[in-house]
Amino acid sequence: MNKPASPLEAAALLPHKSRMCCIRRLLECSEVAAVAEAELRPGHILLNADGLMDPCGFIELAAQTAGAMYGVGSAVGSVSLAMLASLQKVTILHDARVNDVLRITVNVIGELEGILSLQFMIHRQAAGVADRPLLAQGRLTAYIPENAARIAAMLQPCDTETDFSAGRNLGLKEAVWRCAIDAPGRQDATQTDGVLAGGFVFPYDFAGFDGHFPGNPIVPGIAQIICAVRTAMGSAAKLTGVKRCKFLRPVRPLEELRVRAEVNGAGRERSCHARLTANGESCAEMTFTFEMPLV
Amino acid sequence: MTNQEIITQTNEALVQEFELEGLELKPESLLYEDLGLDSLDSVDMVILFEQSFDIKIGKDPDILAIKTLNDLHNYVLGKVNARKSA
Repeated sequence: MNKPASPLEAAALLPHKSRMCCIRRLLECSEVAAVAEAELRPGHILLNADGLMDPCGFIELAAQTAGAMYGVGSAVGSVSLAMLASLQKVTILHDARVNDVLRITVNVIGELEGILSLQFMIHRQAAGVADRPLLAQGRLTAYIPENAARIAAMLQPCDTETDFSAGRNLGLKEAVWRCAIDAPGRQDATQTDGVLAGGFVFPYDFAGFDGHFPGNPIVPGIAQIICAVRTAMGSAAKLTGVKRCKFLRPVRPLEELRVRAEVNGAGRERSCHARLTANGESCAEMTFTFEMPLV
Repeated sequence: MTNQEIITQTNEALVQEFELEGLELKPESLLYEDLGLDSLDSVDMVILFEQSFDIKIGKDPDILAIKTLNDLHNYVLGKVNARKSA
């Protein structure tokens, strides 16, 4: 793997800007692999109020590292537009928390017709400590710039000037939860015959649109996973993995995102298959696992 | 490994990797229309069979012609048998 002459700032390589640029810099990069660094400083959008990073955050860090890898090859003044398309076999082994420095490694394992498959691993690193525990790993696929027509079809420029100041201290999970729309008392999930249902609408000032993407607000993939996780397991359980997840269509501001989640298992370890629609059209499908809290 | 064993392993890998439990895998089944797979699954399928059978597929243009499960079986059989005779 080639090391850049000096670490490259991620903000110059990614379309993500402002708070949604979650990685800090690219440490190493070649055509088939990259290593990035993320610092979970207080106020980082992936941190929850309890100081832990939301487990879905590992996915965003991996996706942005893959995107930054493509950004290195882009022309001066432009950035790469690789977009997360699917996830496979994501395993979350340990928590990340405030002030952690994370090292994200991605390796290309396949490419077909403008769709790239990558393996990722995320370790915690600490100054002077050789041991770097593995926190999460998995695979993702992304539409890459060679798939420009597909990517262009997903984007829809928006001229709205948005003020994100109201949500500037919110973590992404909390910001997503505030977008729940169903039923009074914020009981956004209703259960019918073992199927849980939830609804969400993302206003233009949703914190996840702050830089994702400038002029093209699209609900981040991990926000959609947070919606499904919230619908299936409420607030107390903990996401442990994503077996499979496909993003089929972008979700835009003010579209009604509906989640139908079928939970399997009655013990501490459970799994869920969720289908998501946006304005009635399928937008994502996923199978994930979670762990119920000890009682 | 016999041809039948390769076909069985191919089907088992598909069921496990792409959550096809409950679907009947017939040779004439169309991968996209009948089994619900799509272009995102195609790239994963390439990786799956490369790893399962120790074969090299890469960007082989022949895979674009695969439409049915039978096409897929024949493609994998061809690659595995070519490796054996190499």
